[in-house]
Amino acid sequence: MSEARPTLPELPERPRLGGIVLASLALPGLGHWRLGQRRRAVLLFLAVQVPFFLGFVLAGNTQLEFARPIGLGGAAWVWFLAPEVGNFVATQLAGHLLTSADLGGRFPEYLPWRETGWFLSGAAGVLAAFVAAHAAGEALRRAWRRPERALGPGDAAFLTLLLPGLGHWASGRRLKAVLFAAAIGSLFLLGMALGDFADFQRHRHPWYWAGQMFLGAPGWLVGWLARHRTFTEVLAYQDAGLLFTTSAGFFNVVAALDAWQRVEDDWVREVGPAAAAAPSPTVSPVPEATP
Amino acid sequence: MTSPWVMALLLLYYGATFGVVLSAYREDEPRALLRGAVRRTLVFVVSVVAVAGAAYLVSATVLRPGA
Repeated sequence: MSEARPTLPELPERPRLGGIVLASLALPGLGHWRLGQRRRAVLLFLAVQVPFFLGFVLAGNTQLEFARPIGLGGAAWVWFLAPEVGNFVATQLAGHLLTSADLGGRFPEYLPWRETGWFLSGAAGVLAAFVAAHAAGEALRRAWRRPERALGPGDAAFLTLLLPGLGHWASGRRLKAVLFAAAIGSLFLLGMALGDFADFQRHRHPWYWAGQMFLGAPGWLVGWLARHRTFTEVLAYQDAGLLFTTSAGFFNVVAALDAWQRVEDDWVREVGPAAAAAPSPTVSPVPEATP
Repeated sequence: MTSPWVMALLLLYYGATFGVVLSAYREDEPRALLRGAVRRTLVFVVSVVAVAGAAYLVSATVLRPGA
């Protein structure tokens, strides 16, 4: 049976994480800004927006060929584009202001950097989602008065985006780290092999591609290196390959959620008694960390 | 052409990774994690095989054209 989550009634009030997460999803960095981490907020904002709009430039805005306008009476109110929509306001700006070079698929243009652009904007959307998780972790850090040098829940989740299991490794859970890395990494590579390394392509499988992007940096690298591979025949197990690679991306989200939760549980155990003696956590922000 | 043996191996492999990830999410203690991974792998594989078998039986009988 799984270990019961500690319940300590003397813990400080849990901050309003929903508002922090929503602010960060709307505009990456806004959550950190609200927490007083101004320099980090600007850096994260740029880390998301630069690859996002650079990706649109390189791909001739053809990301919009995969976007879905949502609205009433023929008017597009909200543009849904996975996974870019993790960077919500920028995605809406792109949807309303930009025009695809392919003009709705009617006049496809040759764009040599098209796939690279898709990877950049898609990775920026995934990065934005993890920035929101990091902001939530920083809100807890502030509420529970944890020092900046301590690994936070958001840090652990963010590390998982760099390498599956890395967040668990950093929190001292070596076996889980190895198991997550081996399971997710091998599933992804086997899936790629089953699809002859041609099954990580947005123009062919845009919904699978969105899921595959959540594997994080290793997946982006492998996918980008294989971006020009094409199916030369119908492969016997290419459907299994798509299932495996996309599942690997979703499993990495599970790993990130677990990394976040386990570090928070560590804090509950370590901080609980000490926090009971401290004054209200909502009155004094923690000083900004050096990025 | 797919081979049923290869498909079975792929199912077993997918089930194993599924079991490991799910157990790692549910458990934090190494021994419980490893035990849970084996159990969840078997449950997943048996469930898939059972549903696939039932689907095959139904398609070969009541859903068969002309049946």
